Amino acid sequence: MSRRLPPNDAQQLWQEYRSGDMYALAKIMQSHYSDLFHWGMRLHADREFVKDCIQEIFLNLWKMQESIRPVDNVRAYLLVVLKSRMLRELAKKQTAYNSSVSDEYAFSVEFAADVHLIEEEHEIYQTRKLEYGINHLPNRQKELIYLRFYQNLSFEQIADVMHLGRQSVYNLLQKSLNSLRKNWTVNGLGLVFYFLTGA
Amino acid sequence: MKPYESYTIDDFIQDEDFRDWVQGNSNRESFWLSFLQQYPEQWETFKHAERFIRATNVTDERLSEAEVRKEANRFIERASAFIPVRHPAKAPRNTEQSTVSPFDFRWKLALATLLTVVLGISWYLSRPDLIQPFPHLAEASKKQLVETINDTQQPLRVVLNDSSEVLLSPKSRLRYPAQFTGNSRTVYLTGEASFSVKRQSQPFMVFTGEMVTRVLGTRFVVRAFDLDRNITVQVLSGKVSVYKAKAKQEPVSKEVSGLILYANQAALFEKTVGNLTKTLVANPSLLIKSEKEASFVYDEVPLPVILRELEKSYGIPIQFDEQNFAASRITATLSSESLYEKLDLLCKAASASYEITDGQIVISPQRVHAQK
Repeated sequence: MSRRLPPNDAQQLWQEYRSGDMYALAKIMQSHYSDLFHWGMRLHADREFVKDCIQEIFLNLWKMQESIRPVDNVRAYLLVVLKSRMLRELAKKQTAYNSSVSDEYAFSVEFAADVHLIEEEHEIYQTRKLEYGINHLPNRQKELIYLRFYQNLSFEQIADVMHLGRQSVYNLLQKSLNSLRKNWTVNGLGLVFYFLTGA
Repeated sequence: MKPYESYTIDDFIQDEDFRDWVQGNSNRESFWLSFLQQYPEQWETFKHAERFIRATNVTDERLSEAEVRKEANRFIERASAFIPVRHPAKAPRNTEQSTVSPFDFRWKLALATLLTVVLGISWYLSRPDLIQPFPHLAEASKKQLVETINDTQQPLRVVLNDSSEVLLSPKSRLRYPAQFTGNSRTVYLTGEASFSVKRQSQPFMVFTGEMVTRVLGTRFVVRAFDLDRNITVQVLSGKVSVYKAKAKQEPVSKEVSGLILYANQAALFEKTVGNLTKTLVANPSLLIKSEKEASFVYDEVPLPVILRELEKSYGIPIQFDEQNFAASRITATLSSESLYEKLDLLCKAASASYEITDGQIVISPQRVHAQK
């Protein structure tokens, strides 16, 4: 994962964009592109569709610059906007044969543990086990873990992206961690996984 | 120092620094490497947290730099076709007429932009040299205009046929006749340029969209990028008049839509509102004078005397009530400070404050706060 733009720089660019600088907005797009693209692909794995949606949200930001307010975190804001744009577009596509737009949108992520630096067999095994557990969590919980640990968002920002209260986000994460621990003890070959024991 | 000895798995995985380290982005590599020696009883917790972070890794999408750049360029291309919608801030309820006309105006602007883009494309396709006549400029139809675009990173020096000099900033474009004829010297600027105009009886005029800058012979900077909200003119020396292009083509008519600027003054044209206001340049410089320059070293000098000297040295009018400050005597050496720094120091010493209004400096006594 490449280094992200420091939030302060993003804020600065956002300010410049809002005062009418198109190139500042283009810079924002460029520096957030891979995160947005990755996120978009989780929601609907169609490269061209995701790219088009990203184009549209930035074009809209440009057209609407007057009514766009300062934001606390540019990246989190863009993730929210992209998500709602994509879900809207997908709903439009679907209404052709299915009129019900449910709250249950697809989200697919495949966690792939980074074990290339681990030498110990046992360690790799442990990590793989955990990876398996995470991949078998319910979708919403995977989305949350993805946003927290891949996109590095705060609970507050995740709450915005997932349309949940901050406390619900926190509870959901605890639930995920707890169920990981439970799963682990049940099919964990007698190994006890001390997850959150100290909490 | 964080309470690492009592850290739980949860604390570790929520610790950004720890996460960075596991993901190989830390700048505290040695701290985390020696962590377990320092806190051996945390081994289990530490390992679980480390595994968890590793397990939440997601492979990146294959997306090349070139693809991202292509998308950014695609955005710039498409966005350039739109003049962003800007409403005057908190517009009061207006009659229908006044809400319709700015829309109309935007339409025309959008059309004009489109036209320019189309012309630009055909211009690009025909691959001409930088010098190119511009037949679509009505005012210039008779004269042969040449165009210089500065797409380098450095300012570009352009010498006009009256031997006036223009320093064209990057990303800027200047159109001018190969030969000045008639009773005015007219050039068209998009972007930023600094002008050194040779004094002649024919006025020199810089057209920048809706604003015109007119001079006889002087040095000044015009900034008028399409995407900027304002057009500014900063005067370095001499006298410049600035007015709106719409009002009247002839500046001689006594329209209020114009301003006269002297050295160190600047004009600001707000494109959205169409307002033209006078202010000061960002860093006023001393006027070049033949007589000996002021040293700005003061020993028990009354403030009004100092202010009059500043006024003369910078050529900027300073307004204040003589009586208010007659008693303030200043001892200071201000030779290396900028004008604004000088004013800051003087005002502080005299418990006063200053503001810039209409290209002048106004100094007033600070309101004395009630004693506690």
